[in-house]
Amino acid sequence: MKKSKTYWVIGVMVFFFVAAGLILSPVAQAKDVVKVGCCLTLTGKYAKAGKFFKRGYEMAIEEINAKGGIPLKNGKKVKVKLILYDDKSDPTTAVNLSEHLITVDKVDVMLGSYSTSQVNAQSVVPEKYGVPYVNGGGASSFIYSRGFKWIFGTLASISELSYTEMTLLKELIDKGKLPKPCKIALSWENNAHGKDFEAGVKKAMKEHPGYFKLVLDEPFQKNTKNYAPLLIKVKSANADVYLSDCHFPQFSAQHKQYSEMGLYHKFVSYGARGPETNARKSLGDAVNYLVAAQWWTPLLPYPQSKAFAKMYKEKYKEDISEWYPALAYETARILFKAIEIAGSLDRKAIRNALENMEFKPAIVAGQVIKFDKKTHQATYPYVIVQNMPGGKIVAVYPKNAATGQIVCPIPKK
Amino acid sequence: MSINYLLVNAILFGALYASIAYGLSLIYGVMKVVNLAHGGTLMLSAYVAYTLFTQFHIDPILSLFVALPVFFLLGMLIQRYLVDKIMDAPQIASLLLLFGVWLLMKNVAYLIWSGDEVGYNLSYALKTVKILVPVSIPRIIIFVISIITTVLLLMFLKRTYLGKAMRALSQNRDACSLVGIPVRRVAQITFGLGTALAALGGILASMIYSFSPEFGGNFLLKSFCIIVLGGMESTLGVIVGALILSLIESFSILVIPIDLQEMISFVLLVLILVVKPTGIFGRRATI
Repeated sequence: MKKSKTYWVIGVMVFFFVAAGLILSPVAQAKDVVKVGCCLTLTGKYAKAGKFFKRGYEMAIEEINAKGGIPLKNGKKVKVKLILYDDKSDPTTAVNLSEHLITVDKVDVMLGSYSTSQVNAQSVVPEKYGVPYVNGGGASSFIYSRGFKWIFGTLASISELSYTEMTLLKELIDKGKLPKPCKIALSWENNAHGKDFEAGVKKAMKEHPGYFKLVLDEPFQKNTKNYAPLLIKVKSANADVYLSDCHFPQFSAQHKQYSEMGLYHKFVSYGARGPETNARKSLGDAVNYLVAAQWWTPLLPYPQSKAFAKMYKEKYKEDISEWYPALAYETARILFKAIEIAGSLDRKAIRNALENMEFKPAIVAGQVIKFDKKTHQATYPYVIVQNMPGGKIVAVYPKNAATGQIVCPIPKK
Repeated sequence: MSINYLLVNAILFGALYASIAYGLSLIYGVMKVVNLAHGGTLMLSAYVAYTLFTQFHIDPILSLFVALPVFFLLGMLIQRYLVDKIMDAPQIASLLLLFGVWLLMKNVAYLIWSGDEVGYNLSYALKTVKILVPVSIPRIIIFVISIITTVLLLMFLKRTYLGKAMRALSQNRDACSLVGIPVRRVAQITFGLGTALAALGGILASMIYSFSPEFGGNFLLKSFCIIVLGGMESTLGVIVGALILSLIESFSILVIPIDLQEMISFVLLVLILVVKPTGIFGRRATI
């Protein structure tokens, strides 16, 4: 008797556990919300970019939720719920929070953080768990050269940046504004960013034989304080064009010394540096005529780009001056579009949709974003801008994005 | 032309490096404390100059008269309420403590100014004067101030009672107490003066560099190299060490790739520690 009573108790317990499991399982539950996990650099070194990224993501989420959510195959719409943490600009924290988002918060998909170091670190987590992860904050091609299947990047590569600049230079040579062959002095930070930049220059040189001659190809350390030795080499190279890839502190120090030494080139570019407000604050008129390549600028004349800039101003009561919120907004929109194309929250289907995505009209130059099949990094041309006297900035390339004419050669003082 | 640029540039950078290293040298020389908060002071003073310039249009040279006394007091407070408490503890304690102070300064900077790289543009920033080669006016100002600071510091240490007391303290703390030198007071003033000198270096550096809360670390490492090279307790050694470092950094590009330039300070540091640990001037030449 006692034994049969025991078996009954066990049987009832098993029944309740199974029933509870079935009731609580994702298969049994109807999903009316898609959980999007994200950790951003809301404090610390990259806090400014993190703040703008948050705005971009929130704008895209509000926009889609205002339409009822993302439409799925079953005719239903799922609203987007953002689960956001602060990774404090620390890669280790970003990794830990990503684990938490996937294993505890059970997010369906992820949006990326800002900066190559954060994205590089955190992306191993969604890759491990097979969660679609789309980021607009890491451009270094190293992130996308690891053979990861679940990681997508909406920032065109740094090699694409220099390649775009070289394409513009080729056009200027064809128009007779620069000599042929055009002598280029190239310097770059000795890291993945700089190596990408160099690769883009060399790729363009290979594709256009006879147009360019590389008279200097010099890496330098990111923490360099004294640029005179480098700039003496640049001066001795007697180049027509000076291209240097560096981040803002390096650009600021280098260009100050460049100006002080009275160096002159017909075309000067420090990669993406130059049009920032801080550039003119630090360097004054020395930034005039500097050319820079950007992922996005409020100068782009496309209706969708202008609409975004207007929406941003209405919401945040300030003009948009940086690319961060634009790429964040576009990254989120691409992810939502992939979910719509997949028609469900099945992760594999979302990933397939991303792989085959041709997102248009995009707010970036070229108006189309698609991912390279092998690397999953977006490919689209950069928009090139030039600083003008008086603080004005004009978009000069590509033609369908231009708001003014490039000044080349730079007028001599 | 290139050699002239390298030479003039090396001399000017040497002056800047010396300005930045004086504070570290003084505090170590007198108190045998490695002030890791030196980097934080460089950074905070740069922000002070930036704020005074952008908000109140006060030139960074004039801001020295405001900032230096403030940092002097800050240094005295750090010594009085923090460093003094662990003077008898193993040296690791002061290293960790001052590292903590540096981290605190960094986080305060993040809170107040955020992590953005900032800089300011002086109206005379790009105006140049020809001294063999074109040299910008800020660099000439930095050079002149560095020379004045060296002379004043040497005179202070040699000719004033307080300066002599500091030199005595650097030699033997117990003996100072025996002869009636107020050791704790002298230590406080030394730390205050060292902090003010670090602030001087930070403000001068802010005239030519942009900065963020991460600023200062690289200069701190160069300062270590300079004070080891010149002699850890020698003021004259600082300027000589700074000049040697900047000359080697500048002229090294004639023989090594530019991206190895930053390695020079560390190679020199290791070499000097192995070959002549007391530095060029060593203890015997202490002023």
